[in-house]
Amino acid sequence: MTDERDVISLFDDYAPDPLTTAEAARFDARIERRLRQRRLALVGGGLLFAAGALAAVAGSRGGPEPVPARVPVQIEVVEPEAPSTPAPRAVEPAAPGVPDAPAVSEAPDVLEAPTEELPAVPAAPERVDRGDVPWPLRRPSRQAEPEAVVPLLRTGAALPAGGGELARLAIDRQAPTLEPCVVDGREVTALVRFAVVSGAVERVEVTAGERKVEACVGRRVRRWKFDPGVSGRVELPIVLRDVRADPR
Amino acid sequence: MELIANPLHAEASRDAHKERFDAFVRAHRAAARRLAWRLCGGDAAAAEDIAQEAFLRAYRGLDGFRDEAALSTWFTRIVIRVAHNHRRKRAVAERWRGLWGLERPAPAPPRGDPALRSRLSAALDELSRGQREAFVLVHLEGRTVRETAEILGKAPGTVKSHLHRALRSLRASLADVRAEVG
Repeated sequence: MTDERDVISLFDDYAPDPLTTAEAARFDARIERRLRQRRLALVGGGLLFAAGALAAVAGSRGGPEPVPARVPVQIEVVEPEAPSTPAPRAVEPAAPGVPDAPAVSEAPDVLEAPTEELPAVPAAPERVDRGDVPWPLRRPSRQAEPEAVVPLLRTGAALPAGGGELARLAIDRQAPTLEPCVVDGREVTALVRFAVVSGAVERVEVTAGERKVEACVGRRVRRWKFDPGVSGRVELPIVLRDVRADPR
Repeated sequence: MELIANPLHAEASRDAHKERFDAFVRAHRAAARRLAWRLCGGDAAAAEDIAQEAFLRAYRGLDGFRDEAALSTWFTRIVIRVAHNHRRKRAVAERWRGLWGLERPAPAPPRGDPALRSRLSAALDELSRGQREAFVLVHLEGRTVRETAEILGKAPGTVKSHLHRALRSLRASLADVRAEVG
């Protein structure tokens, strides 16, 4: 115990020098100043947050619409070819884990189309012997995929590798755009939607007429949906295919 | 029921809050600075920074306390936490200074025996965080074990254990000083 008291007594003078009156006044003034700075920072932060929230709300409610990035495109109608011509292969739909699509410029320039009627589409099997999952719930293998998809339309210019106009359009807009064009001899307007994920075109959707077609971007197949009186105008190496006969 | 806030009332309330805060600073300034000084190894500038930061943190929560004892306990806890954060940052900064070959700026020389104070600071620095805080609060600040336990958020038995170990460690590290003084 004596030892303890000895140790503690060493700390008897272990204390700071007392503040003088001037030092105390300076201490108080410094607290006041820091308090004011902190309040200002809080107010500034709050204002910034409120401005950001307002901008977000205005944006979500359709505030000032940005100027649409127009992509002049001519969609051509590809006349069907002779039935003997083999139809192009349907391309695997994008699936998670599939490597990025190659440069779009590598897409086929023209897809050969049958000249007359659409080839018959093989009936969908009721079950595929690949487990217990019924056919519609499981994506068919490449071999099981019907090859009777008939290309109807295709676009002209090639897209630069890495996305180019389409990617820029998708990133800038992320919203539908209307472009006039001619489909099957009719001048219509298409509602075109693009989406780009991880630098590659992931989805292209066109609403123009009642037709339902697919667009092939690179090696990926995407669905295009046409509404009456509306069609697409897209300057991309995209192949549109009639999917009325496509069981997918 | 007052549906619309009265701005005059709000202003009066703000003034009252400010007055209470000023009084609070005046009442606890010296104690906060002393505790911070003891916890951060006798660095006067650091102690001032710690005390000010603790007051700033206490500013908003001041109105929640009417009981002076509870307020004092709460504020002491803030000072200890800020001091601990300061020590941690200082340790990191010193490590970086060591890497770059820079020397730590020496604190202002204190009054009294500077050699003894630096020995005491070094001995306190060697203690663990719990031991140091318990020792300073009980033996230097004069708090009871129960109060210290409440401030540190530990059981009284834990505080006693910290005190015992702190004293044992200090006895060993300050043996030569005790011999000289004795």
